[in-house]
Amino acid sequence: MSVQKTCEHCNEPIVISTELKINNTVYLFCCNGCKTVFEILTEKKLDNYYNLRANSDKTQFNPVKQSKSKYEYLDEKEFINNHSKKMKNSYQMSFYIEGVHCLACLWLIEKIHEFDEDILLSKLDMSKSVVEVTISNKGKFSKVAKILETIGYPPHPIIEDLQAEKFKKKETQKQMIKIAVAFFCAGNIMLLSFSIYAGADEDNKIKTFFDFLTLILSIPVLTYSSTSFYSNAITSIKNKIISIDFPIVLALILGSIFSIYNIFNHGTHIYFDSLTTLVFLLLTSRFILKEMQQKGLSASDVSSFFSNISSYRIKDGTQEEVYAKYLKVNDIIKVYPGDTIPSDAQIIKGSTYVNNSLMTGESKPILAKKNDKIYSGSVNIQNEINAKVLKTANSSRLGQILKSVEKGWHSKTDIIRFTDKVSKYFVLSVFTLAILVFLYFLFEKNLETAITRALTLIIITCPCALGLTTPLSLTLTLSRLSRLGIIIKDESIIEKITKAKNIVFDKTGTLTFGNFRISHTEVVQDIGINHDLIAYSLEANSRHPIAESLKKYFKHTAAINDIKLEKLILDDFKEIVGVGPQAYYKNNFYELKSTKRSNLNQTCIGLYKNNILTKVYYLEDSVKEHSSEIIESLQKKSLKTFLLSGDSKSIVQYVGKKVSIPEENIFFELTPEDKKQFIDENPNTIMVGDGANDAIALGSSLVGVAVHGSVDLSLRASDVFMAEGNLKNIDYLVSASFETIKLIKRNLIFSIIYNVFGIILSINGMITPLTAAILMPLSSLTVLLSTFISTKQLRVISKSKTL
Amino acid sequence: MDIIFFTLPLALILALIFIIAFIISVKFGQYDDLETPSYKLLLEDENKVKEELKEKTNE
Repeated sequence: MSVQKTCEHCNEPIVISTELKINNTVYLFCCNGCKTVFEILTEKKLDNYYNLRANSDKTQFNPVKQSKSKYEYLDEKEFINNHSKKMKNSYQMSFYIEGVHCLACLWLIEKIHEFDEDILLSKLDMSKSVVEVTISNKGKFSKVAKILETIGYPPHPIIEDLQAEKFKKKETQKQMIKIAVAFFCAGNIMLLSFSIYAGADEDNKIKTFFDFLTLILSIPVLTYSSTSFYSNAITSIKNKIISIDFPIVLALILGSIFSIYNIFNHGTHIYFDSLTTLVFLLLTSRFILKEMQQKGLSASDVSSFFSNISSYRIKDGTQEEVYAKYLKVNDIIKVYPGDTIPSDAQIIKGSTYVNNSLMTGESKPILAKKNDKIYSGSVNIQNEINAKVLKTANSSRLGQILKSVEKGWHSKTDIIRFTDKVSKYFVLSVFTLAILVFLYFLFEKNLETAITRALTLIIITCPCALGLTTPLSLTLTLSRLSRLGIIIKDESIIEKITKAKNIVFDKTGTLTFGNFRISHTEVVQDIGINHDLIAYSLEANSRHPIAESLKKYFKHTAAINDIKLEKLILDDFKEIVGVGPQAYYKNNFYELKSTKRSNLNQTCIGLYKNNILTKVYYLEDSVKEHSSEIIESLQKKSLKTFLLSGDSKSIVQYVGKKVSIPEENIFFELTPEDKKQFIDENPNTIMVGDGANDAIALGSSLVGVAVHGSVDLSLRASDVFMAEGNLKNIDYLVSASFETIKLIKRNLIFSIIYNVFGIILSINGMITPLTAAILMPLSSLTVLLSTFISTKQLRVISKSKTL
Repeated sequence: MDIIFFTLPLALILALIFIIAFIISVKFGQYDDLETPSYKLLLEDENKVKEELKEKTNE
């Protein structure tokens, strides 16, 4: 066996190598994609990319895949008008790009203007993996997209609401300025009032001067900076609910009026220091929270870039690339092998095999001839075909399933609802308590004490810690998981996961890779020549999936054994559709066809010589690594594991056994509707799947998880998307959810204890409004800290890297 | 102590200048993306890289 070599571009071990010679140095690559990137980068003198990358901590990169798409739809007028920003002499469009991992990517992506002179500027936002490209009005976005893809970053145009985006940016800037103003004023007020507390008020002139300065400084805080509190309070009154902002506004108004009164009457109680500090700290904590939530891509971004299916339409003899949703009835489309059929259609030219596994769960390809109907969501496997569109994308079978799936979507988390409720009651009770305290001291003592105590009470119990911690913990977990390649549609999912009792797996593509591999071979009879050579020659021109996997296997073994794989010259070659290829070689009749080996549940292909079986190739859809380990770990978390599949009994049972799912929990030969029924009968179920046949089940389950390589359809139906095929992520997802809920409970208990103490202290007059204004954010800070530090297990999860 | 009636407003005006500077920088979008520039910091200057490469090839 030769020494394992790794690809120059992606560092993956090479199975079949491709070479490139530059200046007498030979570089090896795993595929043509990687080779192209390397070649281009060297040619453009951008190979510094590799030096930069060497310093990053990631050592394995995805091999580059090139799609056939020319991204022509990006140049359509309609598309540009809707999704790009038009400037004076240029256009701007944003793309989400896959595979951004380190500094080197940043460097390279911001250099793409060297590839095309019409690209004026490219700016990458690392935290979102979004690149904003500006091109001159002569340039084409299709070219930009192609360049990005060529250098290894498949782009997805972001179809966002430009207006909303702009508004969001403005809002953030405004908020920052509000905070800065509040900080500036509150800080200076604090300095002034500290000197007064320290004894500066002995000089009457200085005291009056300081008081008036304080008044002037607090005006911008109480007007400009606190506008959001006022507007929130007004809306809450209009809707007849008491929001957290309501007591804040009350404290602000009452406090200011009383302070102004005292300033003009040379009184001692002036609360501007506490009020402005309160405003500043509240604004800051709300800002941090909002920023945390907006980090990463929003759910709407996620859904938009996964739903772009392009297709090829033939019009007046030429072929153009269009969006599937723009297809009309009677359009002629061309479907290339490997493409998903975009709409229900009828074949008018050519014949092929289609894989319906996404729709029916059947993993064997089905023959489709001229005049046969093909359905959207199926995949064309073998030949190019032309077809006439019968239904528009929306009314096709795929579209209908989509509709039924999108119906049942729910929103707010129960725990958020719970904390909302608690905060509401809390605010209400604090509010009544404050009034009672005020009235009590008004009659018992005097107005001054009454106001001071009531104000202290309101300030110290300000339940921002309570309202803050829950959404923050949830969003933090979301962003932690998204770094692992787990994209969750909204926060409520996390809590739902902790309520699950069952977890259901689909077989093909979820527990297994979804494509055939040769597990082992068996030589039955010697034929005087290498069996593989004959078989390879027979399959050389075939594009059937089994042929492809056989060829892959032959190349692999040839590379390991250092044998030259050459196509032999065959006579009278015939490929019998549905059976296999056959031909004569040196007057012996050879054929490849499926054979039955009684004791095994595998697909077997036999090589026959003159009708006598000589060698058997055992095909297997191999089980993903760590599958059984992860399933056992999930079982330990007291989740019942199930396996549901549309495949036949023997195969499903074999896979189930291999991943240690109990036999009574294995179900086979199920239709999509059967799967849904199973989910309906077992509520509180997490469903993990990938195909369109899982879509309905994913949609009706408590939490639907679509794994890597899922079709668009199941992606839309699901709540969670795993961007990496690693099953370990499912385990992470479940444990992270449990830990997050634990963390939220911990924080809630803490803030309740804190507030009870605060109330007792303030009623007894043991603290002043100023100390309260400092203590209040201190509690929020503790909660924030506790959330960031989080639990040990969450830290472990966020540190782990999956490759 | 009367000097305080002069220096204090002066100090405030000074601080005001800074806050105006901050507002301007916000409006110019300096705070829009806080993550990417931290990576860019690590990238060496274009010319420097080229010079180094030259040196290496000369060796």
